[in-house]
Amino acid sequence: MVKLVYHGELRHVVGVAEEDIDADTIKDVFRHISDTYGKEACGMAKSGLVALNEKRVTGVSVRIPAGSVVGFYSFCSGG
Amino acid sequence: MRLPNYAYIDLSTGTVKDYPISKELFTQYMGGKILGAKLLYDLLPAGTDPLAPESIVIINTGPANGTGAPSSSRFNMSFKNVLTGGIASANCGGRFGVMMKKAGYDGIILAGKAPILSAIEIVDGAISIRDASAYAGMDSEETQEQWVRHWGKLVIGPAGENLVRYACAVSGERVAGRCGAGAVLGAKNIKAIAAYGTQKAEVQNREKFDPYVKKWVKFLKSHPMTGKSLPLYGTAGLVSSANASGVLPTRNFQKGRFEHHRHISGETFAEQHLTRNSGCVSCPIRCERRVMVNGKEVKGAEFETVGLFGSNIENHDLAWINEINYHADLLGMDTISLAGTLAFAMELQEKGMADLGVSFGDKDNLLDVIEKIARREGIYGDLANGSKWLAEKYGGTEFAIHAKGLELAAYEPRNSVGMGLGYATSNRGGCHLNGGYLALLESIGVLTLDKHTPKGKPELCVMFQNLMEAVSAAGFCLFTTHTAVPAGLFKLGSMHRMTKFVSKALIGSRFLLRPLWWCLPWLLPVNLMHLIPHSKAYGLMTGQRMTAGKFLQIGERGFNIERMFNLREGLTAVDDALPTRLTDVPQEADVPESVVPLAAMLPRYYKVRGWDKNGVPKPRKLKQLGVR
Repeated sequence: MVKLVYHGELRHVVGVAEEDIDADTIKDVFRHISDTYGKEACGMAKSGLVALNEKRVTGVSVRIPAGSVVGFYSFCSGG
Repeated sequence: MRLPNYAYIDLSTGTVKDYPISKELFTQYMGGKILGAKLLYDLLPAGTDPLAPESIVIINTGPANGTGAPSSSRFNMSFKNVLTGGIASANCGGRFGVMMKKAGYDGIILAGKAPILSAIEIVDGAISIRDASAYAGMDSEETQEQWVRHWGKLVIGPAGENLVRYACAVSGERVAGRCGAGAVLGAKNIKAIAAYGTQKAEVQNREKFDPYVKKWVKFLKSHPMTGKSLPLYGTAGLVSSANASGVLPTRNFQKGRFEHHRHISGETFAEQHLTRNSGCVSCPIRCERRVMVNGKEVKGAEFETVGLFGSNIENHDLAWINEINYHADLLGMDTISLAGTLAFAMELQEKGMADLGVSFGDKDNLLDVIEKIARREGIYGDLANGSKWLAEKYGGTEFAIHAKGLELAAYEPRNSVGMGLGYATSNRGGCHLNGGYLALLESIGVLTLDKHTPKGKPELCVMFQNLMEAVSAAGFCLFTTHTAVPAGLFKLGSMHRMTKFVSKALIGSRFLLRPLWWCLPWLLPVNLMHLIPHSKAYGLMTGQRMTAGKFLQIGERGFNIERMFNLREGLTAVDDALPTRLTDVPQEADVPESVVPLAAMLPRYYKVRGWDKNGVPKPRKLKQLGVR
């Protein structure tokens, strides 16, 4: 099982803060979001920052070890 | 063409006279920090102590200020840096700049020292100096309350009066934070400057300017960064992405990830602490957070303060961070240098090198400690001098996290090496903005340039340093540059092949970027709304023929005059450095490249800048830029 943790606006769109799913790759996670919450939610998830066990991932084919946490965040900037 | 109106105020004699700015000076150096640096270079004798009466402080605006252009209420302070001995500029939002301009002045030059604690009043073209000794010891809020609400105010708190080396100047709830802006006013016995006026900022081509501004505001509001993320989460929205990218400074920059980051994130901020968002005059971005502290609504902490008073001292109490942020503003101290200095002192304590009454994870006494720092009480007087000074006294140079003497902002550069190069070469010291802010391209943004490679970083660093220099000097907030990353890439996301292609192409562009600086301004004889919207607005407001190329060249000129100032004051290539923790010790043991390869980047950086191997601008470069 993999834990998905939604933050910010995406959390409001999907309606849950976190959930456990079966997934082997980041691609599987996006597929789950698209199938469960629709394309808009999936688009939002893809457009933000995705972290696997608190570390940013930049490829959809990245494998997810069992028991991992995948977090979704918005991009921001500072100054 | 309207030329800027400057006043020269001799505080020792109490006299005020006009200080004419020539057309040549205006067109070459624009305003704000660039014109400020040039004036300082010309007026300040080499080797002057920044806190001596002979020192000069310039407070000025850019041409955009007060025109109604987006995010253009900012003003600048230029002076000799109290922490580094080199150039200083401190930029601030809020009302003061707008009101000073409405009162008829684009800038004031302060010289000498008032015989007693004084206040300067600028009202519709008239400048007067009056006794402010009754305000001695007042905090920044109480001091500002001495004038009616709608005036623009710039004041110092007790820290400025006591010459804390990183004291800031406060305007409303905004601060001219860095480099000791409050200390230089305190050294001149100036407690406050208040301005009120009824004049309107002049715009040469109002007919074209207004529709352009409307279009630009629409563009800012439609961009994911300036239209969505910053209004929703403020800059604290960066905490999560900085943590995931390994650039969130933790335990005095020992690490780049904090296990309790969620407690101090922008999302938590928005859900649990935010009362509303707010913004500066004429700003559509509205990044400011409003929070409750002790039953009162005040400005909340920004990313730098959250990172440095949070993860960097191992604290995850966001309500407390907002509280100490408020108190630091009341006392008038820069939260970046203050928190950075405290983190260094905590590590000194941890290593048994000095006990200055502070330790990691123990925040309970810090509200009391910062009061004592502001008043330079006992041992806390040492903490009032900053990290570099402490390291010279107690040791620990290798983990005193500053560049040239100015504490680093809240981006751990070992996972954003271009940011590291920016910190090292920034003219005012460890500043992310004067450093070019490459973290946005390398680690925390939608683009994913290889964060460890030195390739392309010198070229991109120069590009963004020059751009930010020009944008700031023109009078715009630097957040307006964040739209340079196309909105379409945010829609596609960082994993999309197009986004990855753009990231690689930017690194590849290094072969084009070096010759660019020798071919300006004719190589970019156009204005680019989606990349540099500022240049066209600048042209319309001043009546000058302005292009993106000319605009960038003014930025380059500004960076070079600042460099010349630093060289004259004794800062050299040796000072383009970072503590060895960041250059020699990998942040992640299993990622040996997680260090800042400064030695590999600096020679290329100097070459791209047209400087010699010692970091000195070559005569040919100075001639090209017209720097004399």
